[in-house]
Amino acid sequence: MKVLAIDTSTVAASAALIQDGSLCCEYFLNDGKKHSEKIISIIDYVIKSCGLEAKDIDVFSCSIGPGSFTGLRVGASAIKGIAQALGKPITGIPTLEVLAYNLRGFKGLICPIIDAQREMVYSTLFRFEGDTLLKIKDFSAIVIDDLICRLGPYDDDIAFLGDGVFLYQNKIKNSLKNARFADVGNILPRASSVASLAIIKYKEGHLLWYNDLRLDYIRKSQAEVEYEKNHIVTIVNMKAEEIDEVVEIEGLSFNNPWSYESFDFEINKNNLSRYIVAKTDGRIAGYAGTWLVFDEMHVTNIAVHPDYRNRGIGNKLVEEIINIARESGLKRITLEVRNSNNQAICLYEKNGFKAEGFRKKYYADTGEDAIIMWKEL
Amino acid sequence: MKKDINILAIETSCDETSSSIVKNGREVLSNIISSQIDIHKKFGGVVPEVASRKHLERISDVIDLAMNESKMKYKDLDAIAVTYGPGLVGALLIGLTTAKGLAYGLNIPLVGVNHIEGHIFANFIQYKDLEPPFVCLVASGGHSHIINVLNYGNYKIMGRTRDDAAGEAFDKVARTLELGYPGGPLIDKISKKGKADAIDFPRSYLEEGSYDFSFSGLKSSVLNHINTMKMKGLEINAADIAASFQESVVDVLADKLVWAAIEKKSPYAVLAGGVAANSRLRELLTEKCKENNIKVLYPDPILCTDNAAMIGSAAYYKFIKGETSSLNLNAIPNLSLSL
Repeated sequence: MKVLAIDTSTVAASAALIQDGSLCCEYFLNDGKKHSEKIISIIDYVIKSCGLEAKDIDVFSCSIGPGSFTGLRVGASAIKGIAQALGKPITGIPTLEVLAYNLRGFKGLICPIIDAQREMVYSTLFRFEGDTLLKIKDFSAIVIDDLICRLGPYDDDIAFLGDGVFLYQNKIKNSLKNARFADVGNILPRASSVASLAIIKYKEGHLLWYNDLRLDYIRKSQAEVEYEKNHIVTIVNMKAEEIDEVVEIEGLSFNNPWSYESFDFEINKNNLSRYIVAKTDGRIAGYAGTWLVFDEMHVTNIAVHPDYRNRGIGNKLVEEIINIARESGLKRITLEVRNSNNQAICLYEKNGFKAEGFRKKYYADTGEDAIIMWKEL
Repeated sequence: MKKDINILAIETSCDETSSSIVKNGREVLSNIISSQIDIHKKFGGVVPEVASRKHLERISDVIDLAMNESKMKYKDLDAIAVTYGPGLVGALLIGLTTAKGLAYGLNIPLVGVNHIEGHIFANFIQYKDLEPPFVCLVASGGHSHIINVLNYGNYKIMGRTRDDAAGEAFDKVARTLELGYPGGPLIDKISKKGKADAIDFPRSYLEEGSYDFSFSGLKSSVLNHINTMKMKGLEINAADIAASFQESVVDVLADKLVWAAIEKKSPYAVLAGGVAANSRLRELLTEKCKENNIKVLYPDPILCTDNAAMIGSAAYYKFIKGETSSLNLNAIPNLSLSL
């Protein structure tokens, strides 16, 4: 079987051809020139070097993101065009997997980071079990400081690679003692890794036709983000008729969700409670519940609907309850969070909460500890 | 017998994903246009990143449809034609790179085409016997040119806009009147209910003998008029404003095209581009040409909008002269027509 693969997700462009299990030719070019000018020449060079023609290739493959939006599209357009002309199948490989595959055999954790601009990276945490690449945690697009915070609890060596390393190597080195960095030959995505993963996908039967290949940009276009920001999320006090929607989000978010009756009590009968909801597209996107007891605020629950996560809505809710506490003249805010809920812990820390204690085996379902966090106002 | 030349053409310079099969430069076997207007409406204009994403999602299906409708097989094709500028660079790159992939995979030549040149060729499709030379106005959301078409591939630009394109002015005024997007057809429609002489908006002819255009002054006076009315608390008559604005634009466009045709002794005054679909421009130009014994030509609306058939027609005349492109061809967002 002959697989031709390319990668154009970062500044470098590469193409590789694997024939019957061995890498016949790989061409890696990081010369600062535009991908669109050179991609076909690179593909042609690799195919001709193996003594073949384009029509001899069985499967074409490219990385599908995340990465440079334009770079990804140039690669995908070229591969789709060739496959369409020749009626051959395609496989699309996620760029973060391509990067992780550069380090196959590494014993610790692998954390590819691709520059997403504005102090953010695209990242997923992987580990190899034998030859199989396992996804440990998907971080999507994340602020680099948040990523470092989220990686804090891991004790194993963590190998970083990807173009984010060029920007954040020192920052990571200073914060994580177990950080390692890939050597210069492995730091950027390589087409030979795309080709190797394409063969695995081929064996699993994951082939696509040119019409079906979709890129995974992770991020929406800036115009859509602005549109959502300006048109959508508003935070208001929760009303009784919104309990049904809130109960649904509660169920989607927690193992031991509160019942309709619990929320009904909070909204209609409990004089100490204050509940807010984040609204978007006419739906409830998330909510936060609090009790105002003497000079303290106790946060009872915060959750965001899965459809609306990673849009900063959780952060907006936390900011709003801090405002409410300040406006009510309270002195401090407290909450409990599951030990394993690293994402929430990082969010609270970013908003000035500090871990001050534990409640051992607080959560009945898993026997996990609760971390008690406080924020002084 | 001379062999037929079949060209598969692709156009993705703005917000239309289009593919077409054109036989011998004049016969359109298929012309598929997938418009993104509904997607961009809520942003009030074309968002380049959104347009690029949609082009990539749709391009393969659009090409498949064009091939199926033409009843052609890939082996019947002689070349792949594609727009490589001017336009939105991210959008151009989808069509261009797909075209390069197809040309490479099929091992046939690539022919890069200038988008503005393509608009002129819509008329060669419309009028099978039309031959150069003639004078043509290409007016759309991005361009306003008066071009002396000396021969296939040989053009002299007589005039161009110094600021906004004609279609751009339509879009901006439509947005101010809260008519929506795209502005051209909406202003054309509402103007039929308004009086074209209701407001005396300026007509900018620039210096004597110039074929250039300027629409930014007109646009400002429309905005000033609306603001003044609002400040005085007077009711704004959108139909009258639209009709008066449109009259100012098309009056200047028609006059300059007629003068150019007279100067170059062109038997035709030819329209091309999205603004060529404007009904008042067609009407007024026809009136002015009648006095001067000039014939007015314009393509069907479907050939005025961005479409791949016109690109396939332009590519044919390059192909038969052996003018093909390298597979290293890059997209040029501000590509000029002057040679």
